[in-house]
Amino acid sequence: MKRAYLLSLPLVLACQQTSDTSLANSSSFLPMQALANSVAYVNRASGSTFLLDPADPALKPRILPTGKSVIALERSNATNQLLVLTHGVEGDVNLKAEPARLFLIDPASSDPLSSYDLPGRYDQLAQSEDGAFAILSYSSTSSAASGSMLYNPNDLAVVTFASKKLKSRPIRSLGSAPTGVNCSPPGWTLFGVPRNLAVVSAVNYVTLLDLDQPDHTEITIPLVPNGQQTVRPLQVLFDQAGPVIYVRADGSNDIFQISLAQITQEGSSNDFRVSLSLLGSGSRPSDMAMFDAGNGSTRLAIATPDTRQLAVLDPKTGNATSVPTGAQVNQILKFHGTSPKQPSTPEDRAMLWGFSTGATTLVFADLQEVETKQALALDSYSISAPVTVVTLLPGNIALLQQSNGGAVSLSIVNLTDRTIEPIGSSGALSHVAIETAAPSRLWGTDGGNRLEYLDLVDHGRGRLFAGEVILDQPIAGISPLTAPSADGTRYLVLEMQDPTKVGYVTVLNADQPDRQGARSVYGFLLTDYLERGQP
Amino acid sequence: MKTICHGFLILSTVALLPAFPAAAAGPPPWPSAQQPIPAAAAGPAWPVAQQPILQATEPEGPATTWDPVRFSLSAQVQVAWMLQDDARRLWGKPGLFGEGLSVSYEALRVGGKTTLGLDLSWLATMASTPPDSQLSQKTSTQVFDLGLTARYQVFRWLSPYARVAGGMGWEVLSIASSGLDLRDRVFLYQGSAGAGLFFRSAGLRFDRTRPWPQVAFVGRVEGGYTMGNATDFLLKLHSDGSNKDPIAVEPVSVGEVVRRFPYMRITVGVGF
Repeated sequence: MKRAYLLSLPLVLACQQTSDTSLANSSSFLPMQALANSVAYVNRASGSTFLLDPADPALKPRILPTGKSVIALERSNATNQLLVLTHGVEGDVNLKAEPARLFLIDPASSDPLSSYDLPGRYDQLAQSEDGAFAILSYSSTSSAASGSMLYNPNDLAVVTFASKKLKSRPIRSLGSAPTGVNCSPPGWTLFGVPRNLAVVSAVNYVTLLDLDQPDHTEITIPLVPNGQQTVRPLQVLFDQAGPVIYVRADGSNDIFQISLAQITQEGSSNDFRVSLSLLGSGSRPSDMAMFDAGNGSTRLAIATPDTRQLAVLDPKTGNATSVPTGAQVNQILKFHGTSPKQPSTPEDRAMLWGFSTGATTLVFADLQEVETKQALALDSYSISAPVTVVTLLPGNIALLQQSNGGAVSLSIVNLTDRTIEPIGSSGALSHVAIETAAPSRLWGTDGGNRLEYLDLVDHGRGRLFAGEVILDQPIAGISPLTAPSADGTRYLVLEMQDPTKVGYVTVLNADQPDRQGARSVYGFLLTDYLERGQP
Repeated sequence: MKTICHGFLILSTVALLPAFPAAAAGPPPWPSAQQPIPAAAAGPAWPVAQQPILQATEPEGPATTWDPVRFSLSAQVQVAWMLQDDARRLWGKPGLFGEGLSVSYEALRVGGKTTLGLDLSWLATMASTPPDSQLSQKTSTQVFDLGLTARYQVFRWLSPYARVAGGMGWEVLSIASSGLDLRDRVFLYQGSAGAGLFFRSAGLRFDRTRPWPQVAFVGRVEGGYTMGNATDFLLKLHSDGSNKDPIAVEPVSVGEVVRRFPYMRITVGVGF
C-alpha cells in the first residue's frame, strides 16, 4: 500500500500544482504610439515593444526586447524613432538588478537597439522641439516611483543624441523639485549664434541649463524675492528677436522677463549672465503669445480672463495696453495672415477663446493694431457651444471641438476670412483624430463601429466632403499615420475594442478609406508568446 | 481535479496489489474431478443387477485459471510533465492528465515466458484556465497510438515489459475573451518509448461446461518519454457566421512548441 502512495505522489503533485504560466496573467500595455508609418505597443512590465507595420500582409509585429518597467513612451521629435524610458529592475537577493535605460527604437533598422544607461530611475522625459536633446528628470510626485530609498529629485540627465552622450546634471534646489522642462526652439540664437538652452521649472524658481555646454554650471533664478509668495511656472517663451525668455506663472499677475547678457566665459561658468524683471499684466495671465510688432521688436499678448481683457506688453518699456474682450477668453491662438479689413496685409494676428470658462465667443485680434486702435482692433463672433480644443490646420484653418453637455460638436474657422462653419452631426462624435498636416482630414466615430471622416481640405471632392466606413467591431482609437509605408500607401490604424488587450487593430488606406480594403488582426500581442513568455 | 487524483490513488493501489494472492499461492478451492459415489451405499439388500457407476463430470460454476490473457480492454490515464517553458505556457501548468482507452492483443509467445503484443490506444488531454479568467485559454489533444510490447513473465501475476509506440492526432488551442474566440487545430504525430509492469489477476471462467473465455483483471504502470513534432499554432478569429462579409482578419502565430515530455501511464481493465 505504501508503494502505491509513493507512486501516486507525483501524479497528485502534478494535479494540484498551481502555475504562473497561465496566459490569463494580466498584461499591461501602454497606449499605442503612432510613428510615421508604423505603430508601437509597449508592455510596461516586460518591456517588449511590438512594432506593427500596416503594410505587412500578415500584420505580424516585430518584437523587440526593451528594458523592464517602462515608464514613458514618446515619438522622437526629430526622427521616426521611438523613445522608451524604463525604470529597470531594482534587484533583490535573488533578483539581478537592471539599470534604468532610455531606448531608441528605429522601426526601419534591424540593428541592435541603442540605449543609454541612466544614472537614476527618472520618470519624466522631455525633448527639445528638434529632438536633438532629451532631458530626464524626476517628477515632483515620484518619491514612490523612483525605486530608490534615497535619491536626489533635482538630479537631471541630459542626452545629446548627435554625440550619443549622456550627462548627469544635478541642479541646485531652492526647496523644490522640477515640475517641467522647456527647451529653446530650433534656430534660437544667443548673441548671434544658435544655442540650445533648457528652462527647468520648479515652484518659485527656474533653472537655465546650457545644453550645448554640458560642463557649464546651471543658473538658478528665484522668481520671488523672499519666498513669501508661491508661484508655479506654467509657460516659457523664448524671444526670437533677442536674448530674452518670458515665463508665465500661476500665482503671479506679472510676466517674468529673463534677459541674458553676454560676458566673458571662464572655466565652467557660462558666457552669459541673467537679469530678472517683471512685466505687469494687470491681472492673472492665463496665456501669452509673442508677436512681431512690425518694426523688428517683440510684443507679448496676454489674456487676462478675470478682467476680460487682452493686454499687449512692450517688454522694452514695460508699457501695457489693455483692451476689453467682452468675454472670458483665456487662450490665444496666434497666426500669421490677413484679415477681412486688411486682405492684402499678412501680419501676426490672434484668435482668443475661452477654455473651461463657458464662453461662447471667439475674439479675433489684429495684434499690431491693439496699441493704436485698442478695442477697434478686436472682432467678436458668437459660436454655438464652448470650445474645448482648437487645432490649427494648414491654410490658416482652425478646427474647433466644442462640448455642450458632453456631446462633441465641431466647427471650422477660416482665420483669415473669419468665417465659422459648423459641421453637422446626427450624433455625438467620439475618438476624434485630426490630421494637422496635409491632407487634413478629420476622423471620428459614432461611438460604435462606424468610422466617420471629413475632408478639411479639398481632396478633389470638395472641402468638407464627408464619408464613412462601417467596420465589424466598435472602434476604440484612431491613428492616421503621417508617412506612406513601403508599399506606397499611407495607412489609418484603428484600435478596435479589446478589453483584454491582446491587440486588435484594423488598417485602412488613409487616403481612400473603404471597407473592401480594410484588414484586421486580432491577438497580435500574443505573437510568439509560447516561445517568449507573457505578452 | 482532486477527485480525479484520489481516483488515481485508488486505481493505482488496486493495480499494485498482488492479484488474488491466495489463488495464486494455494490449490484451487474445488477439486478438479469428484470421487465416484460407492455403489453399496446406494444399492438395495437383495441381489440385483450391478448399477452402472456414475461417470465423473465437469463441475458447474466459476473456476479460476492462469491461462494467458490474449486480449485486454483497459481504461487509461496518463500524467505528463511539461519540462519546457513553451509547453507549460501552452498548457498553463506543468503537469497534465489525459484519459482514454486502450485495447491490447498478445500476438506472439516466444518460449514460455516472453510475449509480444500489440495495442491501440486513444488518449484525450485537456487543460484550461480558471473560468473566472478574463482571457481564457483551452488546450486539448486527441492522440491515437499503436504500440508494440515485449513482456517477460516473472510471476504469473507480474510481468515487466517494454513498449514502443507511435501515433498521431490533433491538438486544439483556443483563446477566448469578450466574445471573441481565437482558435487553431494542428496535426501532431509522436513516438514514445517506455517500460513498466504488467499485473493481472487469475482468470475467472464462469462456466466450465461452455467454451467461454476467462476474464481477468489486468493493469499496467508504465513510465516513458514521448517525442513528437513541433506544433505551430496559427490562431484565427472564429466566426459564428452571422457576418456574411467580414473584414479579413489575419491569423496570429503564437509560436512553436516541441512535443517532448516524460510520462507515466496507468491502465486498468479486463483481459480475456
